[in-house]
Amino acid sequence: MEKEVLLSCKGICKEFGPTRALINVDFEIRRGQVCGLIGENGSGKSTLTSIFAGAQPPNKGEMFCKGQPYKPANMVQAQMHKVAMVVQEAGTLPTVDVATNVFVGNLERFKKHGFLDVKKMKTEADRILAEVGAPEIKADMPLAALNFEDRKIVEIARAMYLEPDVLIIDETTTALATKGRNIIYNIIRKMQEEDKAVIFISHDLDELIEVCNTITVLRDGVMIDTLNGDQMTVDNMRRLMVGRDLQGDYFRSDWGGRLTDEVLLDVRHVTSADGYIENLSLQLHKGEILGLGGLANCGMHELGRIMFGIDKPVTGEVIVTKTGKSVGDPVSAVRQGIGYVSKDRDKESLMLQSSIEDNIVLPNLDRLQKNFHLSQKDCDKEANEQVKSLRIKCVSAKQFCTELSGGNKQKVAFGKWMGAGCDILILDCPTRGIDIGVKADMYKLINDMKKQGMGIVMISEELVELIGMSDRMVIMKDGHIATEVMRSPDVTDSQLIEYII
Amino acid sequence: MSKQTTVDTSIQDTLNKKAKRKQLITSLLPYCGLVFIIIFFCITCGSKFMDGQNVENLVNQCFTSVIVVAGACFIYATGAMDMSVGAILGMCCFSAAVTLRAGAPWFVALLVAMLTGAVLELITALIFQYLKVPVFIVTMCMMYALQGVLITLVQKEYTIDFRATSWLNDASVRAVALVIVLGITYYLFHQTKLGPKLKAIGANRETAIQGGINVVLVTCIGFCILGACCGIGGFFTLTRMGYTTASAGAGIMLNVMIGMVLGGNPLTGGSRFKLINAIIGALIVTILTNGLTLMGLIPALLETFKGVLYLIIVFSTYDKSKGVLVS
Repeated sequence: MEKEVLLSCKGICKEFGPTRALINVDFEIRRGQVCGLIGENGSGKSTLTSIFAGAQPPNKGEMFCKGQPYKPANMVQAQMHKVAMVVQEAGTLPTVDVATNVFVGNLERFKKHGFLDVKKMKTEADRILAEVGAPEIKADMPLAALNFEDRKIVEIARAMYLEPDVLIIDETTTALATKGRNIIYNIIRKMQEEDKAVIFISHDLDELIEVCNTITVLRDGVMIDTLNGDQMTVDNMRRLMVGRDLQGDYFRSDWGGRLTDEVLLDVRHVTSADGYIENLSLQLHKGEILGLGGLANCGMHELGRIMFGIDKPVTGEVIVTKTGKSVGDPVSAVRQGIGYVSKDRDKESLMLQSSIEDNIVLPNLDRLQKNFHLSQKDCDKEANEQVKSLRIKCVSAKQFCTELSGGNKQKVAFGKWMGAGCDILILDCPTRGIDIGVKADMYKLINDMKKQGMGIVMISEELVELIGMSDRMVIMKDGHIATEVMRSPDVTDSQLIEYII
Repeated sequence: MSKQTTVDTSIQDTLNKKAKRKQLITSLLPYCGLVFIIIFFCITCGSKFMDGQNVENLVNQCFTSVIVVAGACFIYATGAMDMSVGAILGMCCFSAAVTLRAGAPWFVALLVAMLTGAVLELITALIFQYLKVPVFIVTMCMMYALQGVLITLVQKEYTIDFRATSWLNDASVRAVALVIVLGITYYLFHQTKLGPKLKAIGANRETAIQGGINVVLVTCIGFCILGACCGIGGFFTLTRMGYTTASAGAGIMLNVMIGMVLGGNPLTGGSRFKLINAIIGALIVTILTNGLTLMGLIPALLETFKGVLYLIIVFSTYDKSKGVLVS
């Protein structure tokens, strides 16, 4: 017997300026269903779910919740209809405590004689946190004291306290380690047992097969297909997502040779300002992909920032061999041929309210200006070249970055350095939150740059990617180097995990 | 499949056209505003507005506003602002007057005025960047501090020999000066790497830093250009009046701020920033001031009117949902 439809939509369309995010999407989810939602970046997954959760209205189409018309004006109203969402990007307020973060938007619940009943709110928050499986997070902790993962858990608690019938989880697990993932899986299992429904967005296809009972595929804003039972295979999903068969190798196919002796960048005995990284030395060779791996807080991201001169070490220095000078700040780093792609794409790598061209041209301005004149033609040429060679999906190079999908934004962040004549490139989480199609492009690009003799530092939390791409893997733990492994077909992730934890 | 694709592309085309049309309308809006306001005053004030004497007044009033606004673009593009332009303009007037009284030729006085402005603005830029004090606070303190200095220095009126420099008041001389200043500022802002760098700082300071841009240096250059423009404005104000007072630059700050947004530039700076828009905005606000005075509005109420106008423009151009200012 078919179970009750909890949430459905008909003919949903959504446009952002000239970009069409959703085209006539029909979707329904029934009780007891855990539905995986997949698609490449920009396929419309997040747009669709944020419409369900009331974060934005559709341009066209209608929605129904348990048979009734459903038109949430905001996320709080959606929660009243028992539809809740855990969002992809951090949505917490860092300056207030955990309890306020859990109940933000719903503080009237704790109104007593016109005042806020803080005590009741805190007990309630503690209860919910314990229920989701994180009793160590306390209601009166300031949110700023929590790490990224615990903040996500606070968001999960926020979504759960009104006991939703439909829970939407948007790519949250990519940011989580084992503890957070287990919490999510437990919640999904519990919701299923209680005959409720979950919509789960993830890029991890194996994970989806594990937890979901149906998988729906979106491509370019169109609903392509829904897979059930045996149809749910990684191959099927990939084929439907990309719309063509992926050709060639995913990572690089060679197993590398001997490293050249030529050192491009020499990190000498650096100690970070907070003392976490202490007396660390590392060398980057010509034509090498150096993989830096470890947990999110192992110090590798900070090391990347030190290499580019954003953070200054208190002792030691980073020397560019070619010039013999040290990297003092990003200005001198760029001048000495170093490029950097930050892991925080939207806040640091890109000017979102600017065109693709403005972004790509930025580090190249000094080179493009000739005889005290910056020609618009040269700028257009540079931008169009990168748009073409990186296959950035856009209307034109004049399009604003806000309108691009995550993967295409990342391509723009890469494009800034392609023409800059760098010989060292530091990439911090270059494929974070990017789908398979674009990922494959990125890997090919990184490999091409290596072949041109560039030295590449690839910082990543994904071991598979490090093993697949690096000539040499340096695993970090608690601010120091735990081990160094050379590229070989025998390296496995379980081998490396030992050093990480 | 092929039919699907053709339908798809036609929808995409309509959307692109829609976006383009919207862009065109927003970019034309300031020009329409300028034309509208001129026609409006021609009708309501008639001959008084188009009268030779008033046109000359108007040209003189626009002259200072436009020059200072052109310079101010170099800091507003980074998302900064300057409340002290009036006081700095007053200081420039005074330094030029002292130089002229000492018997120096006009171009030396002009240079001294420009230098005074540039140095004062450089101090502002250095303070807010190195001491990490918000630019709004620094320029406000600068405004009061300089105002005090000016009142002390210029007791009542500080006169110069008017006849010696009266040829500078000729409309053609001023027109040439205006064209030179606008030409140079336009070139610097749109035809060199300085403009994109300034706009990048406004768009995303962190991205600018990571893009290898020397943010401190570029910001200082921007402030110095504004200072130099204040110097030019101050010098010509002095030669027209023949004397200077402590309140020589009064009112210019509000004109700059209103002109900036009225022309369609976002207050946060960034990529949408255009020099020409700011100049159109400055022209509108100056003509508005002139016309309303002609219509018989009490001068004191004029400031009230402008304050309210500023609030309305910012309110209507501010995208509240995103918390960003758009044109």
